[in-house]
Amino acid sequence: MWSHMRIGITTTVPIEPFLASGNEVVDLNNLFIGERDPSTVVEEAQVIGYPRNICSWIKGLYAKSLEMDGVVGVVHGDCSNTESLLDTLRLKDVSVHPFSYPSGRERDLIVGEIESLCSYLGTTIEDASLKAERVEGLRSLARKVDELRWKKLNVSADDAFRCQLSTSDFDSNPERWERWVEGIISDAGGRDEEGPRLAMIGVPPIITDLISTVEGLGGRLIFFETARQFTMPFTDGDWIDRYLEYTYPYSIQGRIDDIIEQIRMRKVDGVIHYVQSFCHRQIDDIMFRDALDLPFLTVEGNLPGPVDERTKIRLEAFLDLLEGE
Amino acid sequence: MAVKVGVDIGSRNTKVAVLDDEVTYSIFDSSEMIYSGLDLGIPKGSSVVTTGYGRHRIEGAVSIPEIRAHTLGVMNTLDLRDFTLLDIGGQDFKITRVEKGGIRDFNMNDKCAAGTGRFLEKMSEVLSLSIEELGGYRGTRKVLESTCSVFTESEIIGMMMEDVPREEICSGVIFSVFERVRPYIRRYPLDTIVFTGGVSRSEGLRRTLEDELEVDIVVPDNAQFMGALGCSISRKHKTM
Repeated sequence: MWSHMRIGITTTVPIEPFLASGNEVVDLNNLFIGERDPSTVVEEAQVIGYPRNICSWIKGLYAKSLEMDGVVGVVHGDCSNTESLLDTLRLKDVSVHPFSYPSGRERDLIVGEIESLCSYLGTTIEDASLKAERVEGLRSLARKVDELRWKKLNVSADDAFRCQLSTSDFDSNPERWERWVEGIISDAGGRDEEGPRLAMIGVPPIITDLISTVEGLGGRLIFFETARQFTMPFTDGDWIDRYLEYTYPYSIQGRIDDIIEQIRMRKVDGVIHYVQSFCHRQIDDIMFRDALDLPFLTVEGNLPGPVDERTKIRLEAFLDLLEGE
Repeated sequence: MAVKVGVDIGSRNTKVAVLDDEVTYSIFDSSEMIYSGLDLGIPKGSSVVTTGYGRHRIEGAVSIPEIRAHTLGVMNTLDLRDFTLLDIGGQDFKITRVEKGGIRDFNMNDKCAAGTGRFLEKMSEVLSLSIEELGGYRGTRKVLESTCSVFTESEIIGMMMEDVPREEICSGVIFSVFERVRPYIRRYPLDTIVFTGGVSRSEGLRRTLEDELEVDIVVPDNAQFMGALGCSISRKHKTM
């Protein structure tokens, strides 16, 4: 029933079925935060009754979903509000499809989810498999940018972050995305940068200039936990196994193990944990603080927009703590 | 050698410490300083280090983060190496954990200014008291339910209408400030708490902290000027 439709996604889902189906995949988060004034988008959701004290991401996703022909929402393994998001979209006659990362991480269950997704998109898991090599080729470019960042600071933190983050939908145009990332790789070169090496963990920030602000204050962001996971940096098994290795939707311990391995390898000096106001994942802060034996700063964002003065004061104090007087 | 000056430009007040043969302190209203161009009395040719919200307002000055400034000021004043520093200012509170003379961790209020100096100022207005009078009350138990300054004001007015004794409401206001900062303080060992910032002048809150947490509370002399003092002794001063 579908072809050449615009299908929104609420977070990373298997992208191979989208490419196989010929439909355009749109990461609603990136569409929302890329708006000229994302705050007005949040207000659209509040007008229909979304509570003020609910995460702004979900409200942005709601408003941008109305521009789509269909929406695939991750109802297990991402955000506990997505189920209600899909219900409100059904009220508006938007076609929706729930996708779940199985909490038991069983292969049979994720295959079932992918088959169901394929069926929704009008394709088959066999056809989706044919796109796996292409997807892996694109993701490996983002991983290359990540490597250029953490090994030699040869690309900017912003570029490293955006390349990895956008592997969720390849900016809805894989060919154009590929040219953009190849350009970043070919332009990469020596950068005279010093300063504490930092990890940013947690959900992608709604604060639009958080990365450039940290860099401007002298911090060097060299590890973006969630964005890196979007690039599926795993080599064992086939393309379906990657969605079982992917840490973000599963247990907190899997994320912690991944973070510890990366911060050791990348010689990280301090960790910034970004949390979203009113998000259940704010509770994860307790486990991260307990497990990570490094200076740790929690930064909370609510509405989209630039870094506020209070957050800037906290970032300055954190970097000062790392550098000493 | 140039005179070293520390300036802490806070949300309510600007505090100045001039370090010459001895330290002299002065305090100004931050809004007046910005809109009326108040003279802060900084000697010509001084080396100036700033902190606080307005730290970038003084031309040619070097700025340092507030956590650093306040900790430096306290460690210069008191002979302590392990303590929790609680600073409550006009619109924020900062909790800094210092161990073996180094900053180990810090926390600040975020998204909400309840439990700060501005909160007490507002509540004293509602209760027709001076802030000093309100600050004299000791908090003994929970009286107010609201977590928002504006709603607390409504709640207090409701209690006044029902003839709840003013003493009880005042005690409740102080207790609500204590409740706001308590979870942050309890994250760290309860050895010594150094209490600074404008709100440290509240004897009632100091006693509440002492009684409820059963811990020594130290309020240094010139507790409101620790940030400015820290700036005045910072190594970031230009050497001339």
